[in-house]
Amino acid sequence: MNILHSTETEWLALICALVIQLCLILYTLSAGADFGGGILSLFKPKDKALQKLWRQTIDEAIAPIWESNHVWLIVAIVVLFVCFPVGFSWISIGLHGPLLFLLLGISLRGAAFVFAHYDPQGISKTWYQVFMISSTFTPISLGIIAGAIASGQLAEVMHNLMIGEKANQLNYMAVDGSLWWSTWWAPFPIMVGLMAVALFAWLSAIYLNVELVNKTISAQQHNSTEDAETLNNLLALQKVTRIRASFAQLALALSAGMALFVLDDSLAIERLLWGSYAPWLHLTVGLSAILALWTLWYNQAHLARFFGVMQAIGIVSGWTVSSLPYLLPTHLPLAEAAASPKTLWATLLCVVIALTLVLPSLWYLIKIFKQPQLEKTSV
Amino acid sequence: MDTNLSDLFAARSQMGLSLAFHIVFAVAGMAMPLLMVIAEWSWLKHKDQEALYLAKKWSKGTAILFAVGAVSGTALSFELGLLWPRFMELAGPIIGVPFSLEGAAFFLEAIALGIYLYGWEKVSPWIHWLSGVIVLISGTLSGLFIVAANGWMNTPTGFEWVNGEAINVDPWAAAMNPSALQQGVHMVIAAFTALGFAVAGIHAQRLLKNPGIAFHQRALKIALAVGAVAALIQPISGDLLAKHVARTQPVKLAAMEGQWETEKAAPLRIGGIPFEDEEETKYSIEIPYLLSILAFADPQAEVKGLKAFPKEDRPPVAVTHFAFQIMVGLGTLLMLIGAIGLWGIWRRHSILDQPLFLKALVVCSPMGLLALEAGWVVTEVGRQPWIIHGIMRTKDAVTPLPGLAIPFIGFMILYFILGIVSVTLLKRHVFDLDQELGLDTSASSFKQDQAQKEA
Repeated sequence: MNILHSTETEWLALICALVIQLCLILYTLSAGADFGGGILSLFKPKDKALQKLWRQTIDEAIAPIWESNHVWLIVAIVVLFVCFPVGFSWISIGLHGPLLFLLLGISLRGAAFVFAHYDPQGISKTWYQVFMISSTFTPISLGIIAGAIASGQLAEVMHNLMIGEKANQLNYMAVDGSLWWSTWWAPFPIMVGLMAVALFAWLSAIYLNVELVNKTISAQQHNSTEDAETLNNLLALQKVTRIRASFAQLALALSAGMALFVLDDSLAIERLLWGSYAPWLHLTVGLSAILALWTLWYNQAHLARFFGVMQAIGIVSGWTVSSLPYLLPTHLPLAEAAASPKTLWATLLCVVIALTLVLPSLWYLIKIFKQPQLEKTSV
Repeated sequence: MDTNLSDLFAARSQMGLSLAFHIVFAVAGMAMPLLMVIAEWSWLKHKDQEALYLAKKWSKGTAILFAVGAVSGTALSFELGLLWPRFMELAGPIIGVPFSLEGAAFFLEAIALGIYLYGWEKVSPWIHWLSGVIVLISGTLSGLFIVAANGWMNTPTGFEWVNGEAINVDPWAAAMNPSALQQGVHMVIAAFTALGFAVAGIHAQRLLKNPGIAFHQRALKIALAVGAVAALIQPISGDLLAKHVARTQPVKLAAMEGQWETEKAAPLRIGGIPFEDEEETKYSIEIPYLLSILAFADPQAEVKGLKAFPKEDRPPVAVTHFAFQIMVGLGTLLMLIGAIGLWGIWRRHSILDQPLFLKALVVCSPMGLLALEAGWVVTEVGRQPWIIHGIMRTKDAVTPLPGLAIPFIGFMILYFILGIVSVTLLKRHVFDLDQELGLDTSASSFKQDQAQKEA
């Protein structure tokens, strides 16, 4: 849409939608990687000593930050229901099932991680398994939700329920039990679910690789016999991580390709492939993916992380941007779903206040826990 | 609008269950930081190792509670839409400000808590303490904001209601609705009361097993002081809130008091059973004039009775009345115990070591939380049949999706498991602590007691 010729509601709605997109990108980059940690825990190395180090590295990476990371999703939801109440309502009614699984996954993942982390006695093993499994099915639910929105399936079903001109006038009498699945049960959303799993695992692996490289450097600085074993383990684990990362990347490419292949809607395919800005995003994603893999295997952990992050940003942006000018393609335009300008202004002000407080604190948190440690690494 | 009644029932049960579950953990995230900050302050000021140890132990317990609170709170933000989409469609844009600010406050709380829980060795002691203070402030603010949104449901403002549509929406006016601060302050004080007594009860129980342990005495004093001070100021907030409800939601006040007739010089009822068919409250102790005085500060003031309202606009009277009686009764009990405790702390009296007093504290341990839950029952059930007082009925807000019993049962199982595991872990945490202190861990003596009982 053309910003210069739009009404106040239109451009405010676009900005609010960008805020949601920003939150979802940050959620993917932060909390997504935390889920990825749980997924990677499923694929542990064979060697016992490595297993321990693997779990410990994942645990240390997640523990101090997962609760903060997770708030990006809450912010996205709040901005959604305040600024786009009808959109929130369509999603809530139409995607009740996948949302329930998402909540189940979020609750179990968080609780299980803390339970496993804090349990001084026996039950931690069971909870660690719960943590790993819920870390896997939560992204599947997220992907299904994203896929059902992107393919237009959700909006199509909800649009058919409308009785008036306005999107909030739904024929409640026509709702039956099939609404539990008719909005999302199709190959495409499920493929996007698998994509989300692969993406989160990939992000987690390239972050872990950086942490392992940092640990290796600090182990090299203490050159004693005791550390020689640690050093070997760290190097071996780096290799394990790279293999996992490469498999995740491969799975991501395959599921993305499959998703488009199984999508039985030429208009949706066109929108996703050639929609506004979409070709540029696809180019970014493809290039970053290749560069990330390349740098990963050429021992450039930090560069690999950078390109991996670019790739993830491209994927999430591609999803949201291809929907424009709709909130829920192709029946609910942003401006039609938006609340009054006064509400949008108030929300944007709150968001600015929030970011002013949150971003520096978040930066400080990450600085404390993610900077390379120079003290001895205990294994 | 004819909604399937069993689905409506399932939706209400799921919402009630989720709120009741979340609130216990949310209260811990709000009030535990105060206890930890007090203990850590003592360490910073007097280099008192025991206080540091206490702060660390408390922070470990808080980590578990906060995590469960965070995930159940996330579930709630989605459930609002999953269960009440039409309510959110109307309310979302109007009460967005407190919700957005709550998001910001919760974000800060989570970040500061991350530093507090995992940063003992990573930041300087004062920065660490400061992060605890930030957790405390942002946690309290987050509670105030979310209750402000609830206050709007009781006294909706910030829009004009024309032909079933909200126009001229003013989100700032909605955020500052007349109930926001009244309810918020009442809730914050309740949170500190409930948590202070809950923690004091746990340490009192350990002291009964192992009398005279300085560590537990120290913990007990801090927790009891917080709970007692809060319990003693709560009646002031309660009185203001009751007067506010009398003005803004007279039908809720009538249900709380079991007042059927509109009368001047209305009596206050203690106990009693409201019979909704006979429209009468029986078997209560009536104190003349007191309700008129409490509600309007005037013994001759007229109090509206339930009969002044059409039946379809009345809340379930018995539930509201009982919940109110339970809240006030337990609050009064905690106030009395708290007053004795404060006196003991102030005079350094040995009553704090008396088994009888410690037993009383153990009994009172869950009472604050019960009172808090009862208070929420009063607010929520007392507002029925409305989801937004006078604007939208609860039955018109529910999702059209059938089969809501399934998610309700699912959430019930989930919360049951999370609740049991949290309690088990906290119990183990306390036992491990006593083992570290070299004390008799009551696991064995508890088992002996059990064995004796069974024999």
